[in-house]
Amino acid sequence: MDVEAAKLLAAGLAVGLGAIGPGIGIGVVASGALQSMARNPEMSGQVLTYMFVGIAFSEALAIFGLVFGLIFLFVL
Amino acid sequence: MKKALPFILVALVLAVASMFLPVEKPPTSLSAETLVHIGPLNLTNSMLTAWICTIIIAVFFFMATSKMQLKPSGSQNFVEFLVESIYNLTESVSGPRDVSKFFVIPTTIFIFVLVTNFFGLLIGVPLVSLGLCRDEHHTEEVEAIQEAAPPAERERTGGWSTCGPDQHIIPFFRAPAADLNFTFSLAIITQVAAWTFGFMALGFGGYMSKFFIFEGFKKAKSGMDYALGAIDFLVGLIELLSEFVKIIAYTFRLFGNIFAGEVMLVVIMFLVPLFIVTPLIGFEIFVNFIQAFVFYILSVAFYTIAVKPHGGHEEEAH
Repeated sequence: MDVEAAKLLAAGLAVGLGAIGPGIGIGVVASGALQSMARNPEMSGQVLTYMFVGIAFSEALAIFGLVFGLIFLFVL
Repeated sequence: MKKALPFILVALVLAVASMFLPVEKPPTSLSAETLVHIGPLNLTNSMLTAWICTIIIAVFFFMATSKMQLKPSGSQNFVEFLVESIYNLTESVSGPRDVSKFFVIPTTIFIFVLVTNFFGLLIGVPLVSLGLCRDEHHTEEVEAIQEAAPPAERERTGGWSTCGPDQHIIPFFRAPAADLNFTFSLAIITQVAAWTFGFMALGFGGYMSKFFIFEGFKKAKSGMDYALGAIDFLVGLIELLSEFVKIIAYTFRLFGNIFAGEVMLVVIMFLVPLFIVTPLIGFEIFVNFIQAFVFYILSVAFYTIAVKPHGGHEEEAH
């Protein structure tokens, strides 16, 4: 395998594998938020705020993978 | 509908204008590129966009608040609504005691990031092929590959470009959040402010005792207590490390989201013009807003954590 092919593979793997965990995490966050909103609709505004914070934390990991993918493609 | 008409017209004009400026390949680059050198300063395209947005924000807020009325109307009404709703949201997170302290920096960053993101998205992306031409700086590898390729492949296969064949284009506008320097400086400002608030609220020793926890050792009597104290100490050190990881997290969260969105839009724009891009731009507007909001709400939340004393749960009385 030459270097270019390895770079492309690495970028794809970084994004693809990096998105698995955050995908599950965002699912868990959203399901919890939906349940709490359904049980207590008055709180939905506040729950929504914290849901986005939780999603952002989880999503940051996928974004790290994406940034590494972009570094593999453009920088290395 | 009537008020949206000028915006739709501008968007259409930009979309049509961008079709007259074709380039060979999507102009994406990881770092912001230098437009001109002003003395020792390299004016990059993201800096230019940030400056333009600063001027836009300053002029808008100045115009909105220069003729203040008791009954707000028009832009003054909008600014008051914006500031008031952000203030109330800050209060709901941080509590009424610290809200006036915590409100300032995150709100400034929120408005700035929001405006720059929208500027980069709605003006920067359609006009991505409007820019300066610069000679390609080939690396050795690329040079070798190009020489190895047969000459027929190196000729352009139709269309026309405003740049020469060996040049690449540097767009005038680039969303500043798609530049690592911008997001890194915002992250440093936010995190240094968090430390400052922590020191101000708890004092030097009080804030440091959140990270260097010796209480377990002081009270320890048996070997088990020492082990638990060591665990507490390690947790404190990890907490200290995470204070610095937060900077990286702020930086790459904003950068990654905005840059990835921009690259996706530009690449898809080169595959299918106009039609597939339009719904994606709507999605990107949402993402850009959420990211600016997340930056704001996270910094307020971290400030709130920073001023809480170590192990202090006594003020939780709603």
